[in-house]
Amino acid sequence: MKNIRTLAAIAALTGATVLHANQSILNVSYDPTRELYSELNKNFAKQWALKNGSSLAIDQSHGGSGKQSRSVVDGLEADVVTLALAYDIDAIADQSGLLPKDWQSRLPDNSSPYTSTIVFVVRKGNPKGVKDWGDLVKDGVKVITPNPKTSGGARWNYLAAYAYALRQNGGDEKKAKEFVSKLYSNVPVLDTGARGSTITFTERRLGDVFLSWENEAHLIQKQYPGQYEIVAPSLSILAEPPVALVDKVVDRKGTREVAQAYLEFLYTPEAQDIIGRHFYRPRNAAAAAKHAGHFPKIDLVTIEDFGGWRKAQKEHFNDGGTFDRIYKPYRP
Amino acid sequence: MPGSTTLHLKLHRPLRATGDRPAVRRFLIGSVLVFFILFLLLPLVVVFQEAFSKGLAAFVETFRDPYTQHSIVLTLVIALISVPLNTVLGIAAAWSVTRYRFRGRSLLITLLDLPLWVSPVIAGLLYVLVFGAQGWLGPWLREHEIRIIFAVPGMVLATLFVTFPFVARGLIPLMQAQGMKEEEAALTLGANGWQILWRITLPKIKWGLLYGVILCNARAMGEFGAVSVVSGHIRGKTNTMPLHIEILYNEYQFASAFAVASVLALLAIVTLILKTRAEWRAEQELRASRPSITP
Amino acid sequence: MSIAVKNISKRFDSHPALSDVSLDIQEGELIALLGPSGSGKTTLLRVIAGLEFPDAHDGRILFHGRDVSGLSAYQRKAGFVFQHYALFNHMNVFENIAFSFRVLKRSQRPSESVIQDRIDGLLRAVQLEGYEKRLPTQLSGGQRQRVAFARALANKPEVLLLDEPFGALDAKVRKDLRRWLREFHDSTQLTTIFVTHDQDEAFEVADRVVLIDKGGIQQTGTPAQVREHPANDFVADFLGL
Repeated sequence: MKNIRTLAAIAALTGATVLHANQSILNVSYDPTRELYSELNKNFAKQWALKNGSSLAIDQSHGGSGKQSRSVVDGLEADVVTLALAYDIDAIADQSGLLPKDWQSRLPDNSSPYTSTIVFVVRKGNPKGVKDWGDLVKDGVKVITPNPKTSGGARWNYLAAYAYALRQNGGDEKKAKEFVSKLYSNVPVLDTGARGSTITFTERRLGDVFLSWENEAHLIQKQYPGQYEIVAPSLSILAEPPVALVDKVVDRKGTREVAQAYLEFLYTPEAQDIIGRHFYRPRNAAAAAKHAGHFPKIDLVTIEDFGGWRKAQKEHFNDGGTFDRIYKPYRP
Repeated sequence: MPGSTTLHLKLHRPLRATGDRPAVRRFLIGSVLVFFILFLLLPLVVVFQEAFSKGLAAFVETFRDPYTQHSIVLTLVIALISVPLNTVLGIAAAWSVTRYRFRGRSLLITLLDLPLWVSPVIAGLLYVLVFGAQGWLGPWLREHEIRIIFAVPGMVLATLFVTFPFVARGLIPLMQAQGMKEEEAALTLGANGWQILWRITLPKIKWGLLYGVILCNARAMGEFGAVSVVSGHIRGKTNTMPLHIEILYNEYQFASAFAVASVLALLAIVTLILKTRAEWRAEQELRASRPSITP
Repeated sequence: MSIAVKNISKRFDSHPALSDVSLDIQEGELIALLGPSGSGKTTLLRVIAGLEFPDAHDGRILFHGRDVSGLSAYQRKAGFVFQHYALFNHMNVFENIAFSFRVLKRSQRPSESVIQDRIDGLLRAVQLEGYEKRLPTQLSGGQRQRVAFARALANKPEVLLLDEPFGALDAKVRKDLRRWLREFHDSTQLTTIFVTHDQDEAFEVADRVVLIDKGGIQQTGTPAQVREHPANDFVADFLGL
């Protein structure tokens, strides 16, 4: 009788350790990375358990990059943040002091373990013949993109369009603004996040061309085989989605070591290969070469061409910025 | 002339009752029915159809996913905490405003409805403003290691807020109509406050109370807006069924999203049946309380 | 039990319901409080019962010379019959009548057989033998009224207070119940006060009639005294003299 009870107690205890990991960290991320981190987390947790003999649970929270940043400021206890653009992590540093302002210099490659860019997704056969940014301002072309006020991806979309117009018009800002204004007047729905726009384009079948993260574009092709085509424009923008440790949170929870190891893991060849498989452009040369077939050569401008994120945000996206001034709602 | 009388009645009855012509009546009833079928019944059918679109095995598989299981458990836990609390609070509120006259009574009655007037999203944001890291109580809460926002307590609070009116609103008209003669009678027969509550008042209002509790529960389990704002969307930790449905949908797992949605829809249908029955019994309760003049 | 009402005033919000009312009732009397609706007669009955508390001036209620102003309805040992009976609809007749025993502390509660005997006696007294298991909704108005009587009498009150006891009954039943009340009172000599707006009822049943209007007592006396010597215009007018 006593033995049975002991056995039961042991079973309960071991059961408990399986269910409840010794340690857990929370990764607060942006919309399209759900599938990527789901795989990365599995691999890192396995490694960590083997090396340290203690189990690790990595919790995920996804949403629009700007919204996620706000949640962390409001107290969402992220050990690490992996957002769509540096400004959203700057905002956390500026508004809450949870991490130092120089966070971006603490990890290699501007703290961005991968890059991505913006491409076009069109319906099969490209019925509207969309080839480049210039086609998006034509009458009768409906463009799907999320709202730059709330979505990280949408800000990259906007800046890429703006860069294209600047180059076409020899640096004339007035003409560039006219161009993006025309483009956004062709947008029938402004969703708050990238994934919302994807669903609008694919499930609700609205619009002729979808301005998408490159990885999301490939995901769409995988989810809907044979229904969509990817069009690479002549010029796009180099997106560097950054990652960072949230110092005050990891120190309070005592998770600095594992959180740091998690971020460093993202730069290992193993993680870089997973990153490439999910259609993000790896930093690691070997992984980049292995997956090069997915990534067409596009002329890429960078955020530095806009004077960095803090300046770009202030000029274009803050209240009263360029976007507010040029945005005219879609009229069918 | 009996013939002309019937004719007269036939011609005038509907006109006298509503003042509407038959064509108007037919149009109104017709458009309500079309609306009902198109926007309420059809989507409900589609939910179940989509849920089984990949077969029964896929449907079952959805519920073997630990995140789905957790979202169901969390939804039940939140309802299990917030519904009893709101039941007690609702009875106390209804008791206070129907039994006592006090300063601020009409203000209290107005405030009871507040959660119905305020958008749930605003309610959630209010909690972030109060309990968030940048909010009034944020620093104090952090010092004491108390987590409210982006954790289960905040989700319970948000649910409490949006579901607060249902019990009280169901009870107040009933208790007002019933009056408190039976309670007074019990008082003259020696019952104390608790005995009056348990033996007289609760049995008197039980169907009205059940009606309120059912509505409260349905809303607690289905609430999206307010809970979404304070949840933080940590899967396996702070995702309720409605939030989980959104996540599944956004991850292209449409069949799974609809499978979970079908459970909520089923819950809604069961709620509707229970509610209708409770409503009917509550009406009887009310009728029984009216004095009869028959010998 | 004798009852003395001394200088009682009661206001609802700003409206005065009773102003400086005094009244003496002898042990074993059967008294009618008679007046039009809104006169304050029901309020007076409720103040005597302890269901309403008078405004705190120097007003007092004495039962047998003892000040009961601060006591609850139950502590005053007053049985109260409500206008619309206020029966507990979810309990059968037996449980309605037994209620005052059920709420007693276990140590004070009589045994089940004593309760049974007591209720059998009460049911006989109100002529409702065999109705124990009925629910109030299954009874006629007159039967409900008699259940309410039995319930009020169960715990042997020393005074019986009735609010419009026959108001909601039809004429025939009302007459029977009046006679029944008079006979019941003659046999028990229980001090009884009832409120009515019906002068025939008051004059037929009561030993003394108290005429009330505008929150004050207009006249007190036997039916004959009141009828032969109305004290003022209101009394004369109200009685149609």
